[in-house]
Amino acid sequence: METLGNRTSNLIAAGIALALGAYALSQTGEMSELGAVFPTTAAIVLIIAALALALRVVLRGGKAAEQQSVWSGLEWPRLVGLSITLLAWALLLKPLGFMPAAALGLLAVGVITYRERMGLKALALHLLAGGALLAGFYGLFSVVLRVPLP
Amino acid sequence: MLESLIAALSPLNLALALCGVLAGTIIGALPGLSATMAVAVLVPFTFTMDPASGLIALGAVYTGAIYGGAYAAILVNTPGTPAAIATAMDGFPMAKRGDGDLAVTLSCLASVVGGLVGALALLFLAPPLSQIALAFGPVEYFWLAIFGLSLIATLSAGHTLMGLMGGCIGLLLSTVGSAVVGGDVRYTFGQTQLLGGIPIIPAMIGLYCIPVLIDLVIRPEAHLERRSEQIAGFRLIEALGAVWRSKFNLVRSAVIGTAVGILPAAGGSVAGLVAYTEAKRTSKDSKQFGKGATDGVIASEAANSATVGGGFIPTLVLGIPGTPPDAIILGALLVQGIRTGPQLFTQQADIVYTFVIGLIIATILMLPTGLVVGRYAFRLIISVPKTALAPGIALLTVIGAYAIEANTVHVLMMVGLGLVGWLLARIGLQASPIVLGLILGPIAEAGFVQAWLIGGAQGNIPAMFFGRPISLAIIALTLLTLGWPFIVAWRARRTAAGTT
Amino acid sequence: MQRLLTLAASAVVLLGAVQTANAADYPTKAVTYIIPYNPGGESDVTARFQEGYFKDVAGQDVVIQYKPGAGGATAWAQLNGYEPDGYTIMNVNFPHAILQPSMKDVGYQTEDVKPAFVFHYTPDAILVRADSPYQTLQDLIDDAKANPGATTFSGSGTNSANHLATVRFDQMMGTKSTYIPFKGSAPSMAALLGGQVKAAMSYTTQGIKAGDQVRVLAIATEERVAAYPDVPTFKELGFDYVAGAYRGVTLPKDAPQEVRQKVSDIIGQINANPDFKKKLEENGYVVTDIPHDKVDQFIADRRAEYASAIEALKAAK
Repeated sequence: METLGNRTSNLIAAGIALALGAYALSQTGEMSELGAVFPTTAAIVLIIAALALALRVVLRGGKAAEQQSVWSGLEWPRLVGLSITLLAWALLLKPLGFMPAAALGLLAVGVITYRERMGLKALALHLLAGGALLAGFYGLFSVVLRVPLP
Repeated sequence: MLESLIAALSPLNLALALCGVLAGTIIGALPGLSATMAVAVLVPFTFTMDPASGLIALGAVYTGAIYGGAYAAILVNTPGTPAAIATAMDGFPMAKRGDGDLAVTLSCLASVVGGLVGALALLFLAPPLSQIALAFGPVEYFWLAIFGLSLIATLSAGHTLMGLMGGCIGLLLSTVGSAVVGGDVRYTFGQTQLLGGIPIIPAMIGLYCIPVLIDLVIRPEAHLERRSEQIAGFRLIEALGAVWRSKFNLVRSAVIGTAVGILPAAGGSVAGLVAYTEAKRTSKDSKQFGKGATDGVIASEAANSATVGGGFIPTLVLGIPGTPPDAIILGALLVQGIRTGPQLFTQQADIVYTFVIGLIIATILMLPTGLVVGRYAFRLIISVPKTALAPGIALLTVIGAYAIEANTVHVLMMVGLGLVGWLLARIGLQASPIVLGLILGPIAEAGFVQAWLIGGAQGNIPAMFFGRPISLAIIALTLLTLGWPFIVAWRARRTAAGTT
Repeated sequence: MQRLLTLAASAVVLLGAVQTANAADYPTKAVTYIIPYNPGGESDVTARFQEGYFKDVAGQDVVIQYKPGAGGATAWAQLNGYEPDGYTIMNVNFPHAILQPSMKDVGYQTEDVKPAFVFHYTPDAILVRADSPYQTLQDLIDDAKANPGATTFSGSGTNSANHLATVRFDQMMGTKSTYIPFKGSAPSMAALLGGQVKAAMSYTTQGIKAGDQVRVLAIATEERVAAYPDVPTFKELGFDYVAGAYRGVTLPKDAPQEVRQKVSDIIGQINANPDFKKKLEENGYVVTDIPHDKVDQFIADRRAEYASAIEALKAAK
């Protein structure tokens, strides 16, 4: 009943799982007896599942030709840009403070998502909406919910 | 009880119920803002009110928040609260195929029914039900968590190995940090930030929402569309029809939700999961589950709303909170001078009854508020262009991950897990098994170690694990759920062979 | 336009000036009070009690925030990352803050979280279910001696007050019991009420919460507790055991002395309020007054008290 997806994907997944399980196991040496039970069991099951998957792919073969590779059709620039933006946003929250970091983040994500041509009026609306959203959430969190924002 | 009914219908209490549900729904809809937070913020304000009114306000916010989690689950595939995890499984596919408004309305109806069942159980059956809650010891929790983990296999049918790997990864992630039982410090790489483990809310937001955000940005198509062109209407008739067809599922899920809610430490996510899996198992069209089956949404929402009423049972009768918001409410009660315990139902019965009736009213009020908010939420998501939607969602994820503990490191964790989660999803490792492993891992492990210690003290560990009636029932249920697909296939083969 | 700008600029300057914290005027704005546990527990409840009086005494609001994890260690390890201006205060518990760094590397040392004021403690108490066969403490001790290892005590957390109490109990009575850690007092009490364990090593507060469902065998105080007039103290029964979980308020260690003194004064004033005292005592808390200048001695005393138990715990690892 196992419908195999793309061959390479499965192998990569199995590989990652194997590595994770092996690492987890390696660390259990330092744990107390009872404390090691769970990680060890989970790691072993993980390794077994990974091996089983890899074996299945090798033996039965996957629908390699049928499915489009999951890596095609990706817009790499946007992907990388978004990843960097999100990471930067998280890292800059403390140094820059909430408002500046969020403003920059909102702007960056908007620019990365930008596709079709947008008129000036639409652009203005976007910026206004962004500002309102920021102000609204700031108010909600720092005033109503009394969460200290950085 | 009649005076309590009249008291609950006082203008103040009605207003509190309405505002509470509304505020709770909006807060619950924002990923990262949980029911716990909403209730915690409200507590100081309740000190100035009389106990019953304060309780009604807190209960209404709690109810709304649990329900509100469905919005984000359906529209952005991110459960607004962990209770809504199972809702996203079919809610989001429904939204993707244009039935988002139907899903929202369905979840509203199901939540109302579920909440009512839970509240009625609280009203009439609290003391006996609380005794059942007490019978659940560490062993039972262990097997319950194992049952929950086995559900991962059922949910990933067709990709069982992938689901299993995902679940194990989640289990390993749950062991990060300082263990409650034993005090080991595991997998922290010397980082004090990781001592408390990987917090569930940022992990959930990262694993569910970031991939959606990424797809939103890198794909040209619109995020969600509407199937039918009528902008007006909640598709209420259609939803009512679906609910009526599914009435058995609805009631069963509500009962499951109440039952799970009674167990302290179980919570809405477990309830939704169990109800969802049961619905799938008994459905005539189980292949639809995961692709947008209305029954799935109904089951999950009915169950998680029932945990509100169910959770109050151990809270009020035993003084043991059923869920985290209950713990806060318990604290608030204590400060007000109200002692919980069996005597609460006898000596201060008027407060309890006024509160429960208020809760029922709040649940009923969820219907109009839910439908109205849902309609606007849906329209908002549909009509906002991606250049505005994407930044908005990004902001929500950042705030949501930060807000619970005002910790910027959590935001980093969220983003990190999210990016990794997107990669994993690409190669077939879905978010749900990982998140479920993360949630159920601690319950399973604590139960295991505690049961082991107690069994050891009694000198008979196997009897501890396999000798108790409730545990055996859960184990049987687990085996049944795991074996069901095989039974079905075997039966199909038999009938096929018979007809040739 | 020019005037508008000047107005705006002055407003900003004014706001800035108002916001600047001055030690002499502390507090000039709301204070964040971090609880290193989940809501609903003793630390939270007492903070909520304090919240009610804080504004009257200090003139500002207090905003309670939760930062649970690792039995409190996560928050305490992060304490000194906050601005040491006194606007972030944290609840700190003993023995936890002494025990945890002694047992393993938790990211902080006890000196890092020195309190400004220790304002109450919850006395250790042994609780049993109302229908338990143990009528007195001696029954429990006899059973424990007759069946080593079979006596199960539920408690909250590892390397916590309950855990320590169980170890000290064993040392004092010459018994060997099994401590079953739970994630918090609530599950620990649930286990007791459900009959999963024989007794709970808990506090008077939990006993009061559970009402008639439990009986208290002994309490670790100097004199009998008002809420439990019929329950003997360990001292009366011949055991020199006065202990519990002490809770105090701490600030980042670099906070200026004047601010520390002010916080100490504020908490002390709240403690002196008779209504506040009554509320706490009704619920099983014992109010203590250990101000800023007595804290060092307090910690030293506790260290001495726990020393042999810590050795036992380390040996058992």
